[in-house]
Amino acid sequence: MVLRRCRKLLGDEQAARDAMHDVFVQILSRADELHDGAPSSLLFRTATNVCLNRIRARRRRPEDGDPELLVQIAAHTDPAARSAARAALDALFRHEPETTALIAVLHLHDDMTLEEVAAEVGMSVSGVRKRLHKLRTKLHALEVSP
Amino acid sequence: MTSLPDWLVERAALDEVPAASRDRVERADPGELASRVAAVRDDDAAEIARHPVAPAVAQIEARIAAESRQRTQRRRRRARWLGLATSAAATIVIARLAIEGSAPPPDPDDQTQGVRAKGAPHLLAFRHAGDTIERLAEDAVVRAGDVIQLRYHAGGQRYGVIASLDGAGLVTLHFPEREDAPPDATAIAPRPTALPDAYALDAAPRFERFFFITANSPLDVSRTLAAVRALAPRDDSETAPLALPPGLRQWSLRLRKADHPALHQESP
Repeated sequence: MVLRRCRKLLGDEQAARDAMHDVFVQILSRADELHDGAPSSLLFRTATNVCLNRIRARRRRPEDGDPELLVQIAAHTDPAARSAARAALDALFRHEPETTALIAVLHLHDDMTLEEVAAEVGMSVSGVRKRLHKLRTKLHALEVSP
Repeated sequence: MTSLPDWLVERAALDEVPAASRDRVERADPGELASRVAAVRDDDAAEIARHPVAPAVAQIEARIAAESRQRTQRRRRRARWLGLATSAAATIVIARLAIEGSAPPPDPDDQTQGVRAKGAPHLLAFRHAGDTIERLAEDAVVRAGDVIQLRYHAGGQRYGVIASLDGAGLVTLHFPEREDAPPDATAIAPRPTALPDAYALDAAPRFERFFFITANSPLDVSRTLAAVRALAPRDDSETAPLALPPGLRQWSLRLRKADHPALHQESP
């Protein structure tokens, strides 16, 4: 499951395998904080965060690749041209908590309902809705600004 | 009948469908779901056949052990610096310790002035250069690649968050380690304490500003960082105080980037 998740987000076999190792290193390094129960949610969430961090690192080195995933998010948020969306993404996420990017991916890329996102990230549904509303407002403001 | 997203099929394959998704699974086409679950399980089996688990587990365990060793080495390196302070050759380190033991600097952003018996909470920044360290004063000029070590003085406060804002508007959390850390993780030591890791400056322009936000009750890390993030896009982000709730104290140290020395004399 973790490898498939990393492949889907990163689109590169070797990067996905490296990310999969990162996921297990992160989780097992904090083994004393783990508790019994369904581990798939923790694995999925950690894999998503690891991949988003790798995508952010790529964006700081644009010659390394294209942030396809974040472009998809922007495309779902508004049918703007991909190039315009890509240009807006830096400003869109720059001052947001990491969980906002996670919420955006889960809802807009993975098609989770607001309730499912809330359960996944441990927030209230209204909290998730507010974060997404703020992102949409921010994207709209970026697009109307000169 | 609706088609399920991949992540939910994965959960179904593991019999770990979350409560919030059960209705969705029940509405799905059972034939399609069974087929996709079977495909996931086939893919798992094929992956394990192609890439046996044992070598991957060994690599992961080796990385965890290596990271643990690195943490131990960092602790030993700090202990070596303290050891240097006892040798006659380490005059610079002794000088730094003497500076740190002196009275704390003024606290221009202190919202609860009047309680100074233990000094104001503040940060000290040091630049590593080989085996020596150099204390960085307000508006000291720094360069990309400089390695900065922070040390905090709690000044009688019990909880704190340390974050930085750079000239590109990026906010970095230095203490506690994670933004999702519980409020209790913001507890700070009563004695002067160095952060466990040094910080290498990147090529962000103009300035790097470190904030020390303190209180006598646990702090919400995310909300505290939100105040720093709110400052980032403002034109006066180099100088303005954070907008914090009553009861929180703040202190900041600004370092200038080498390509903008002209602003060196500006007061905080």
